Amino acid sequence: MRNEVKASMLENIRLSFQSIFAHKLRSVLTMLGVIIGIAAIIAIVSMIEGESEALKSNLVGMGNNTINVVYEDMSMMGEGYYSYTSHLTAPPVKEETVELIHSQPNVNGLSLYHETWSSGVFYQANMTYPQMYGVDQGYLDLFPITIVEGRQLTPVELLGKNQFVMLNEDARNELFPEGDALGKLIDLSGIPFQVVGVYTDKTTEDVYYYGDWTEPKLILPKGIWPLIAGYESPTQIAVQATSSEHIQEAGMMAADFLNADLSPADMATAMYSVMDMQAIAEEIAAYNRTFAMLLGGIASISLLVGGIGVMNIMLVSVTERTREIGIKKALGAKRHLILLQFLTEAIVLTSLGGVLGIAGGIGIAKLISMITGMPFMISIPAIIGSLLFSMVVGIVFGLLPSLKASKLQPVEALRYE
Amino acid sequence: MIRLSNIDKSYKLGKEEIPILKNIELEIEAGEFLAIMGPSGSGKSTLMNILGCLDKPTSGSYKLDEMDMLSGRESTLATIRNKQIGFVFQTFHLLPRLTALQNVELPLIYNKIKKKERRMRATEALEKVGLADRVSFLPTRLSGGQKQRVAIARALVNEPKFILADEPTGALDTKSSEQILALFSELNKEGVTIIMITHDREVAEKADRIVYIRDGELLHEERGESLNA
Repeated sequence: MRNEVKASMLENIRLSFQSIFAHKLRSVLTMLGVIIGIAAIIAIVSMIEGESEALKSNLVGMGNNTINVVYEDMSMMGEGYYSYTSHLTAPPVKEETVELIHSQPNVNGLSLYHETWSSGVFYQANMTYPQMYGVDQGYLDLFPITIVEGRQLTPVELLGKNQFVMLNEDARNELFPEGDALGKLIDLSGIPFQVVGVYTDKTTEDVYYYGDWTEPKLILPKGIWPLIAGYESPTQIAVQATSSEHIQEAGMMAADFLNADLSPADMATAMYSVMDMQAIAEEIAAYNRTFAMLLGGIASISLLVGGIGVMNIMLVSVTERTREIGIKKALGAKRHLILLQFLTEAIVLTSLGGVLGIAGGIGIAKLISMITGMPFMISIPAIIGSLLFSMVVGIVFGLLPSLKASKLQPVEALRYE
Repeated sequence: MIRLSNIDKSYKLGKEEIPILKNIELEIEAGEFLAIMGPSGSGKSTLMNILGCLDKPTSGSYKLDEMDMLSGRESTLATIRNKQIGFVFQTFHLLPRLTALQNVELPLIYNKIKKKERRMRATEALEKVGLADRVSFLPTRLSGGQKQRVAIARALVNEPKFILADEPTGALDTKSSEQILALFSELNKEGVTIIMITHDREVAEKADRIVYIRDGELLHEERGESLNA
């Protein structure tokens, strides 16, 4: 009995395809509304999901599962992201604490470095205001750079007192618009530094997000930092987690270890903390989702219109096949069989539209992504949802015509010419 | 086997009741070959619809053996049509997108017969009407007479109590008509009960018994002896 039901369902599906292919043009036109609606939804969701994912990984982990632990003024807590630029002098970080953080299971790498805006760097008449970094090898391991000219500073040089500097391409372009930078001496707050290398740290994602935005940067040995900044701190602490899920956790753990070394007096004024980038990323993602729902809602109108089109054609189909229905009823077909036959046809029609729409939507998203460089991500839940939704459209809008078919009186149906 | 008593059927047209059938009394024995004859508008189609459980009378009773044919719901009537009655129509009423075999299989599908047995019984029925070599043909590739024979095979396949044929030769040429009527006679000799509705006296005369209907009333009947005499 169960097998019979299954067999008759399969038979219905087969008959539906037969009837859809018997009227190809009509079927495609009928499906068009569903195809457009689903394609729009899938394209929108793919683009926005892709955008959110890229944003999340960039924002939360700087693209590198890395988070900054910031020593900040307690009075400025809540001002958030920008407060670390206040030049607070943190007590020196103990070597054992660094080791301790490094040995934690979630931690992959750790770097203590300096970072500040320069008040002006000169070469002859040229001038720029770069972001300056005083780093050791650990930093370059976390945030790798690519040398385009000259050489990279060695780990030993990075800890030494040589007045060497590496420029990024933007800084080089501003200071040496028409010439070779290597070996030249540039002026940092009156102190000469020799250019040993030119590097780039731009990724393709940076190019997408910031476009032609340029930011001049200098990398100096950590060992020479006190000479230009006048103090050894503030120290930026970057912690790299083993995976993206552990970023926040690893950062908070590092902050706790660092705070444990502070005296109660210190803690009253300032302490280490991490910014909850995860939360910010979630907020942005939530905002994107709201946006996607809004656009999806608009696209659903197309689905509604498509559904009405399906209903219309199904009603025509029922009228056209009145005699067939009459014959089947005379031969003993019960109401539910007729209902099921037409309902199956409507569902097959809209599901087929859904499948074509999904393929089209992915195609559109891919095309947009190729043209604009925007990231996109195929969302499995969205695909499953769309498929189910297109089936529901078939059920909802196929029901009325199917009921009409099943209620036809055999006498009248047979008489119909 | 069949007993119609006191059957009335009328349609409402505005406020007026239009009587179609008036006080029909009819008994049909198993194994009979009966023709119901009358001009168009006489009510013979309505009578056939009632006999075929496609329509219900306004009043009266209809019994097949001891079974009450009028009390059932729609799904019960569908089952009765499927198992007890074989229909043969003037314009064949084959489904155009199904082959001869698939058309004959339809009543078996509704009777929930398993595929293997279905195929076997449908093939047998087509053999019986002489179309063993046409099983996989679509109706468009069959002649009128062949189409009607497929329809007869379809009517026979569920082994119904009787066959109800509505102007079975109405759309056929003389030669095909004769073949179809010969087939009916042959089936009748094998014991199949046949009720045939027609307006054509020549066709009706192939039956053992003719009942005449005019203006919704059964007038008189002729028995086989006088017919064949």
